[in-house]
Amino acid sequence: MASKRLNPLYLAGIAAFAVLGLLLITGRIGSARKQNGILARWESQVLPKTAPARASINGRLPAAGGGGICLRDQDNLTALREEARRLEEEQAGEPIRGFWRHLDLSKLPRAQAAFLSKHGEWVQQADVDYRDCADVPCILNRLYGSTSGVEGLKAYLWYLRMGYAISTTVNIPQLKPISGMSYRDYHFSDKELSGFWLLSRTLSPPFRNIQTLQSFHRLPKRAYLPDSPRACGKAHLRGGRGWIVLMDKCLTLSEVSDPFKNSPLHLSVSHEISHSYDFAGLLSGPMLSDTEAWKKLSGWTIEEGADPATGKAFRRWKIDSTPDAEGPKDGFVQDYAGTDPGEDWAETVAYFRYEAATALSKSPRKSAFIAARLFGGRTFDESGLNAAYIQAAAGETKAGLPDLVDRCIVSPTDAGASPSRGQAVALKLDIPVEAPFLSCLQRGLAEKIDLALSRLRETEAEACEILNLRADGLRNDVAQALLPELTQIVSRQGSVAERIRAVAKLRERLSASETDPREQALRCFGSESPQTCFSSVREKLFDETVVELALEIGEELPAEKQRFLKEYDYVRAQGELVRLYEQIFAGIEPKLDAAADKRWQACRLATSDAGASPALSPFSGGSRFVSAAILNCINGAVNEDLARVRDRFAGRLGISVTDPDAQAFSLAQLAPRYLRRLSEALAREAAQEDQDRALRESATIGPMAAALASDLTWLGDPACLQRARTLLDSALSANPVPTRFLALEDLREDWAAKACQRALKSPEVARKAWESALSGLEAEVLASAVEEASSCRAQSPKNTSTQRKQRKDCLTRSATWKRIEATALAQWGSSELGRRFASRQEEARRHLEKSRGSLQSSAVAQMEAGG
Amino acid sequence: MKILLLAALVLAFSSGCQREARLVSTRQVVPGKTSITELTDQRGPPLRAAPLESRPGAETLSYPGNETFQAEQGKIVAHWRDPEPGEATLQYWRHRWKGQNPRYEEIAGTRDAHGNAEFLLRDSSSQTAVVYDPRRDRVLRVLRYGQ
Repeated sequence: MASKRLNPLYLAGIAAFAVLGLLLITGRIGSARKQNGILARWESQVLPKTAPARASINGRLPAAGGGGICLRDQDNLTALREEARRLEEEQAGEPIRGFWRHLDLSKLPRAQAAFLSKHGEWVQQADVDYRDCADVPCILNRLYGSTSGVEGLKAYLWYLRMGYAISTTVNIPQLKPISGMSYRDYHFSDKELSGFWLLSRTLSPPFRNIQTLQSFHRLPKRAYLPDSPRACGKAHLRGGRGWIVLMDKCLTLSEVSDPFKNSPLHLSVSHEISHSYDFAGLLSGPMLSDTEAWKKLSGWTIEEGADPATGKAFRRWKIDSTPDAEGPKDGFVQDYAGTDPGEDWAETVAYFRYEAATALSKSPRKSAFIAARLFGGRTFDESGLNAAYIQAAAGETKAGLPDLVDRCIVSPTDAGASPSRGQAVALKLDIPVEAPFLSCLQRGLAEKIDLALSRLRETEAEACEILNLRADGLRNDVAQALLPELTQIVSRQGSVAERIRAVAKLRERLSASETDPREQALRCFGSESPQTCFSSVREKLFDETVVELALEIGEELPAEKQRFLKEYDYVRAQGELVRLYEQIFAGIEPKLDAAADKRWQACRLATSDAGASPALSPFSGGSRFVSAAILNCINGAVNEDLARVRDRFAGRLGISVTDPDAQAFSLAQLAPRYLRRLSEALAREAAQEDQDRALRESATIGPMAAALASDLTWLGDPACLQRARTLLDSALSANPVPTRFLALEDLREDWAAKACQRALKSPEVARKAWESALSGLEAEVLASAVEEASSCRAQSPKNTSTQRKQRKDCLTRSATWKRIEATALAQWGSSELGRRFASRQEEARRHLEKSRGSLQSSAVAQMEAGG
Repeated sequence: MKILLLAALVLAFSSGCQREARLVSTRQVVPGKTSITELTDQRGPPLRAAPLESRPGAETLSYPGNETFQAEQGKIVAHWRDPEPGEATLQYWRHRWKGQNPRYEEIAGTRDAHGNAEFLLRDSSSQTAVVYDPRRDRVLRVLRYGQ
């Protein structure tokens, strides 16, 4: 059979697709796209040494060629150093200028300089001398007091891979250092750092470089968060800055062989990072956990209601478990996940990755959502891992099949060295082939599969566990997965070559067009629905590019389109875009802070816009009142400030940001830091103004209350507030009170009300007010008597002395009069005066008893006069 | 060209009318005054009606556009809606209610495990309140109420 196929045309075809296959494997065609578009241009200018990340299963970077050493066994100094070196190389680029303590940043590897520039505050410690350290791992090891040199390296690797700092100081945002505790008490232990290292190798790319997460902190043993004493970890976000605090219970590592099983560290830390990922949604819309797409999976709805008398509102989450069109609603992986959609998200993600079986059985719909969103569609239960390994190994091996077939056709006995491990794979082609050829394929395939599986051992935390149990089974499964492809290659010869050539041409064309996904994400940034925009741009690009090749590609076309569309979604592309910006603009933070400080100084005393409408974006001023003058001053200059800082910084790197989309995106990236700095300045100054005003308050209200008490003409009249406002206006015009962070109108109302309250408490005013209230009560009695009087008059209408007496008796009869008094008391009790003296109702009633005679006389006189 | 201009005018006029119609229909529902019957006459039947578990005797009527009405004893007593684009910052309401001394208070039961809570800025003079999420620096809901 084989000899019949050995003709020149066939060999030429084989050679052609072998070359093309190799091009596809090595990514030389794919890498072309990095050379087009402004982003790629900047990248090559600023980060010239950056190598494109080699994709592997789940998008993780492959390990440093550990020769099949299990991932978990790479936690040693040599391997960690090699890993750091490689990651530093990938993050190399233009030097960052400036100094951090004694270190000239421009002389450090770029990643180290970026780390110190961005996270230097978390490695400061006054009483540790690290002047002789020339790099970051040395500084960190000195702080950890490490003898092995691994602690600092692991903390640094966490930054290199994930983009976050692990703090070594006692400082934690918004927490005071605990007295008696040394900075060492705030350090993660070596074992805990190993947990972090393993996490960094098991979490997928979306968990890296989250914009709303900057640092990790540990509380000393047995310490807890004052506002959440039962929590063992907490993700925070304040003013665009994010950090995670962890405590003992969240940091326990499992002792059993499976590193994840029942390991609180992995569950807790991934739970908290998932919160930070969720928070990042706030930068451009709702949090992911607040989207309908997520909430509907469990049936989360919010119940909102109000007390219509006061407007006091209540809102609470509840579950509507009615099945929807897609089936029954999911349950929860843990009771705690049922707290709210945010906890549901964080807990389900953690379980999905580290307790997969539970997540898949209790929350299948949410698991599918998370798999697609964060893990490229894969799952981590045993069958999911098996499937992923088969797919990954088959994917890697598949690319080399044309070459293998070619070699086995040319020289069936030589091609393929002996399988490195044991047996050749079992392979049964459905087409007749000669035994040496088949044997060659089996050996060659086994070699390639073993290589792919060996790579999995190095990069996948669970791979060794599974491969140790069923390596042969997995090898055969991979071979089976490749069988159709292999059969096709062997049987279809030239036509396969044609198809592969067409696919390669398509990929090349897609690469040659403007297809850098980051570029597409940039174009869609700011559109109403960036995800939809991004998908349709990529779909259109594919459809336009494929037109001429569609026939040649044939049945592979839908799969090729899917591959192209699935390669990048907006979230991933935007993440890479953000990462690129962060790399380019690493070290810009101090410039942004300086610009914000300068702007605050220029605007903090602005007063010229009194009465103007406030500009509320991008600086809203937060939850407290900020004068329109300050807001307008700041918002009129924000974009100009940011553009100036950006352009100066970029200019020094030799790039200019002129593209409108790039300008808009860069401003959006740089704004949070600048705005946060402004918010911090505002909070400080507003607190100072509050203090100043508190001092002025009693000094102003006291004399006002005294003035109100000395002139009681306002009593019994709601004019107290009016009079108090007049008094306040003259006090303020003589000695103005600062009202940059409180509306003057609110201050007037507040202080006038307080002056009235205080005046009413003075004994003289209190007596007069009580007398006035009693007069009001008597007036109510006479008002209530009018109605009864008309009824009495109707019974005895004549103006004779007998009927006058009958009318008087009717009105003053005990039952009637008690009714009149009761009505009057009720009316009075609901009036403003009555409410003020609510505690003296009994006294008021006794007053009516005492005055009954005179009140009855007045009521009778009133009745007779009315008649 | 003339046709284009005409089309643009028609479009602008029609969209303006739609907007006005929405405002009028919302304006006609006055918490404390409008009955459930009047509401359904104006707005049609609700998408969903459900008892308000936290307030016995009350029910919520949900309408498209994330609008809900709270009804008690046959009367609409509260109307919830999303803020219009210009109303989404708390600062807008702070300035709008200058001199009314609006109350700013945490909404009970909304504090989550991360210490984040929602707040209510409430102006009793206009019987309006807004739900504010400090973490997002955004007004989530606008509430009008009345007995």
